[in-house]
Amino acid sequence: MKFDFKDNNKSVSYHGSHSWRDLSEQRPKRIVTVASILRRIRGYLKYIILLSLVVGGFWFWDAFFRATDVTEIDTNVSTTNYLSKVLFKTDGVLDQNWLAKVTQLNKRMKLMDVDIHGIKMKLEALDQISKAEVVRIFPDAIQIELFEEQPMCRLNLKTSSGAIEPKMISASGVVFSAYGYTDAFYKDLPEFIPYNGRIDTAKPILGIDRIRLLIDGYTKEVFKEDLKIDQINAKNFPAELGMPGQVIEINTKRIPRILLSAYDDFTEQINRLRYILMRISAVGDPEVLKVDLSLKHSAAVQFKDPQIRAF
Amino acid sequence: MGYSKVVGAIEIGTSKVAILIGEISNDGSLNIIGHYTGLAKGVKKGVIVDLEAASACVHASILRAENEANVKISEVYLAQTGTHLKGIFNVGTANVSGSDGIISKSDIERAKEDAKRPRLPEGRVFINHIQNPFSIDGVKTENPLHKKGRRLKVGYWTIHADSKILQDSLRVVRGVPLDVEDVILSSIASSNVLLHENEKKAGALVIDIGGGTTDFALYRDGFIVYTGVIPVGGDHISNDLSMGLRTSVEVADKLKLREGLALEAKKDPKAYVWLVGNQIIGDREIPLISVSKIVESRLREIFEIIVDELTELKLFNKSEIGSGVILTGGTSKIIGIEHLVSRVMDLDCRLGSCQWDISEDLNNPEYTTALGLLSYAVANHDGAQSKGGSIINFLRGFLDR
Repeated sequence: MKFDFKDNNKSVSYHGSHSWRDLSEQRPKRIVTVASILRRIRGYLKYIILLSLVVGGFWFWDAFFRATDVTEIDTNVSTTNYLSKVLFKTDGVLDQNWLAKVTQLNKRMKLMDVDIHGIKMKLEALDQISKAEVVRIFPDAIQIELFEEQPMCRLNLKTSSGAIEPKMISASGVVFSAYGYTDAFYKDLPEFIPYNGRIDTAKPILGIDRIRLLIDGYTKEVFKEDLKIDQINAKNFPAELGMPGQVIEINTKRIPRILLSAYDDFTEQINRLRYILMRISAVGDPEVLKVDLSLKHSAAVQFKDPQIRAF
Repeated sequence: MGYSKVVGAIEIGTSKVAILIGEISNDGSLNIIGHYTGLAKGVKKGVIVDLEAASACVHASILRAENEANVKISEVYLAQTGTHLKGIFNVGTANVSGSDGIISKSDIERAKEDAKRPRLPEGRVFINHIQNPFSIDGVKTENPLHKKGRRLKVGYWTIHADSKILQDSLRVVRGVPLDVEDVILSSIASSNVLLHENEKKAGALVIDIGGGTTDFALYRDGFIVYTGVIPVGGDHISNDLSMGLRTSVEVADKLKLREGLALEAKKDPKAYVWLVGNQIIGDREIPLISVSKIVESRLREIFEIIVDELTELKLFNKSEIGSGVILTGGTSKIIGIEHLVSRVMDLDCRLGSCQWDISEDLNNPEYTTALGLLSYAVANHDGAQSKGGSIINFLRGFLDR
């Protein structure tokens, strides 16, 4: 925009003694700021950027070729270097001995001859291992890290010959042969009874998410030892959404059968169970055969003594 | 355009830094090619209290304005405010030297020089020197040259500053580095763009309410007869609001401009208004009358101080302030402020607006002082540089871009 006001005002400048202009004769130290430095170098900035690009480009080119060289050197080294150690990490129970048997790694192998992809595939083919990471640590080591399935319950799997084969079921529904676990640990897990008594071990168990929720919810409650889950029975639980009457059964020492509706709120049903136990305790703890919590907003209790009809 | 002169105008206020870059052409017309307003830091009541913080924000603002203008400035005009600025009225006299009693140029110069006799204490420096009318044997005249008389008098309203405080302002600007061409009192600069010559002649009071200070200049018969600075500004109103309404200063500042002296508060004392205004969690309704009361009492206090100061000096003569009061500065955006001034001072009042045809974003109280500085730059421009027009100057300018 342009406007003209040449004769609009009279000068107010002071020239003479005691003028502010005298202050300019004194030269105190200049205050330097980032902006003032930028302002000064602004004219040269494009040249600095250009130079940086050239230097950066050269560095990249150099780094690229150097990286190629490094790879070659490493290859040369690895062909002469033998494997001296295997670094092993797991979040489960598998150990070095088991690993040595499975991977067949030994000190006669050259580092670069180890088929790390093959080992990874081999390990991940095992049901107990959900993920395996295998890397070379130069100059002479292999690092293997395993992520194992965490057992939630046990399964007595009947083979075609009729023999019983012990298995474990993980929280994600994977059935696996439990290597490295003690007998005591195995027996302490609740036994899972599958739908119709049959199971396809090649696939994750259907409805495992509901079973996991139930086990978690139930075990969080501080029930007495005699109410610990012995079996979790899914024989009436096909895990088909929308089908009525699907029930999961818990078997304990004290109450042989506790029936829960598979697709209703477990917390509410367990709360109801706690209330029932309190009422039973109040009438002298008569022996119970069955508690049915699968009914809508109610529950049924069957006592061993047929004379007891209400409490 | 090739040989035009580029100058900058800098106002370092308490709450903001305003930068304008103007290009003065040979014919004395001004083209504004860059502008920027940044938040001020390290400044209290118009005085720099933290040199590094103030330098950082001023330098950054200059850089931004230069980037917009795509030029590198080398000289600037700097506005000054703060209570360290004082004014004195000097009168210079000269007996007419010619035997025929005709006043010559040398008589006028002697009278002017007499008015510049140094009477300043240690640590003070003159910054502005504003000429008032001449008088020949007691009769006022604008131009005494070739007139007849025995004794010539001329008055000057002279503004002086604390040299240390001024030195700090100069250090900030020179740190860029830039040459300071002139230092001008903010109220003088502002009034130069807000008033027509005939308004100055009719008498006017220009009040510039900034963040930390309020500057004012009184015009009579076309001349500045008094200037003053009060250490109270818009920030004090925001602080009072924030304490009174228990909210942050930022929210109070916005509320001040949004609701300030809302007339609804007078009409309906039970009216409520939203504190933040976005009506989400944290916002709350407050009585409008409480906002209005706080704002009004602080503004009234400012205007009463000005009236008292002028009355004490016998300068508050309503008949000599025919053009009334002209308000500028960020705080003049408070709605209804002109009505309050009229009530307190019993004078007509209007909001200041630039007298020239400029773009909307520049016709803003934030830039009034800087525009005034540029108008003085134009007045001081004698075209010497353009006449010289040396190839070296041209090349230097070209390389600086």
